[in-house]
Amino acid sequence: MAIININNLYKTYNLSQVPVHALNGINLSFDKGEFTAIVGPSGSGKTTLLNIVGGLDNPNQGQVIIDGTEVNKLTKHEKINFRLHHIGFIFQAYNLIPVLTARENIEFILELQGIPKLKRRERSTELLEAVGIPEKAKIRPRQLSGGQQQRVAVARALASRPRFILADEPTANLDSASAENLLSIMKDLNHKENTTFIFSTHDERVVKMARRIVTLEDGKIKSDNQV
Amino acid sequence: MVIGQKLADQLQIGLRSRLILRFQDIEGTLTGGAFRVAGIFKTNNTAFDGTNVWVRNNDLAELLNLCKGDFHAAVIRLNDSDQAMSTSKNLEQQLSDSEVLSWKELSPELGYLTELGNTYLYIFTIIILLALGFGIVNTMLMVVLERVREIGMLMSVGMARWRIFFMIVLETVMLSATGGMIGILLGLLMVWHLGKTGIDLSVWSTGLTEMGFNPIVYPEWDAALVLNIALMVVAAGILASIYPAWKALKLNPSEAVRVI
Repeated sequence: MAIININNLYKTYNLSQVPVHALNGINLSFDKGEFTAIVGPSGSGKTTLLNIVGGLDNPNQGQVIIDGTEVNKLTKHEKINFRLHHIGFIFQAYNLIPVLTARENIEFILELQGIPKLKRRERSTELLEAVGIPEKAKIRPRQLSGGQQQRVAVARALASRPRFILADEPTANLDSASAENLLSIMKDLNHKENTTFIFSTHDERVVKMARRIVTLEDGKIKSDNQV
Repeated sequence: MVIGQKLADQLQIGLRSRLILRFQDIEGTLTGGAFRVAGIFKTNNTAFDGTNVWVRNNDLAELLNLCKGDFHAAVIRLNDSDQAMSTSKNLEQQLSDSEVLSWKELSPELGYLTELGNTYLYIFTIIILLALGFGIVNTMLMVVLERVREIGMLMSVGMARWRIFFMIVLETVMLSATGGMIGILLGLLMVWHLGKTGIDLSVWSTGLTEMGFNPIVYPEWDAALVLNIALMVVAAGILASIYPAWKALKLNPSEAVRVI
């Protein structure tokens, strides 16, 4: 059963005189529990697609329907709330809050949602174990390695059990060993928590671990393969 | 008699010089007496030094045919200059046959100068607060620019806009309140020290003594004024944080998370 339906999506940027067609008629759907890589050369529209699915950007044409909600029709305020409650985000540059410890970073979104402290504790402990850094609970991001920081970011994205997780180039700042390690943790959580992961990547070794590979080129789907 | 230094200089007299004073006695007949200079005094008020001599009450009473306890004027000193007007009004009602004048009526230019000083103080305060405001705007803009990635993340994951706005305003208030507290503490120490030693302004402004001001200033601690200024600083902080906070809200979250 599809949780995300993307119908006939178009997006054009008018940065200079020449319009850039970032997305050129995309039709896609994602099922619950997928582990999907979106690949393609830079400028192929990966980031634009993820931004529109995540409600951070609006398409010029077409629609994104997530569990019956047409995301691009929501008001600004509703979109913020929708992101908070239904989507998890992982960023290329980790984007942790430097003054909070690893545990506090993981609990951050739960706190925004107003989840009581005890429940947050329970969930963050569980996730610290799951990403393999239970001993780093009280460490601040600055003292963690890149791979460890991104694991905290994965735990943060998963904490509120969102419907799906969007990750734009999650391994771009990591060396290959950390990248593979991170991906196996993500895959493991995908399996254990049945969370949908959609990530964009350049990295061949990361692509290999995906179960479905969607290739974009010039804003169109070039191929869509189940592995 | 004791004579002011400025008057002594003008008359070119020194210690042990004889001086003849002429005045009217109580019936209005012209009288006078010879006095010997026993001392020369110098106050902070050169005008006073140039126009006043002191003689013994007994000597004068004899020459003027005064009875014991006769005076033509009495000076009342108050601890608080702000009370001068109300006290003089009260006394005037009680002593109907006497004239009661406050210092502002006796010397209006002095009162005017004091008022002017207060006005200047407010103008200076406003200028300092303005400078402070721009300082805060600058600091907070830097804070926002340094944390574009963090703010982009907060917006992406769904932190409400008012919370982000409030976060930056709150940070500014805490920053200015902390700074204000340290400033007040330093000010307190300085006032406490200078209140004992005084600030000698005579090198720069000889004019002060012409007006009868003491050139050595002893700063005082005014709790109400400090509280006022502390509140004004925090208010300036809140006002100054609005622009940086608005700037943070204008960020595009999907671009902001990628800024290096």
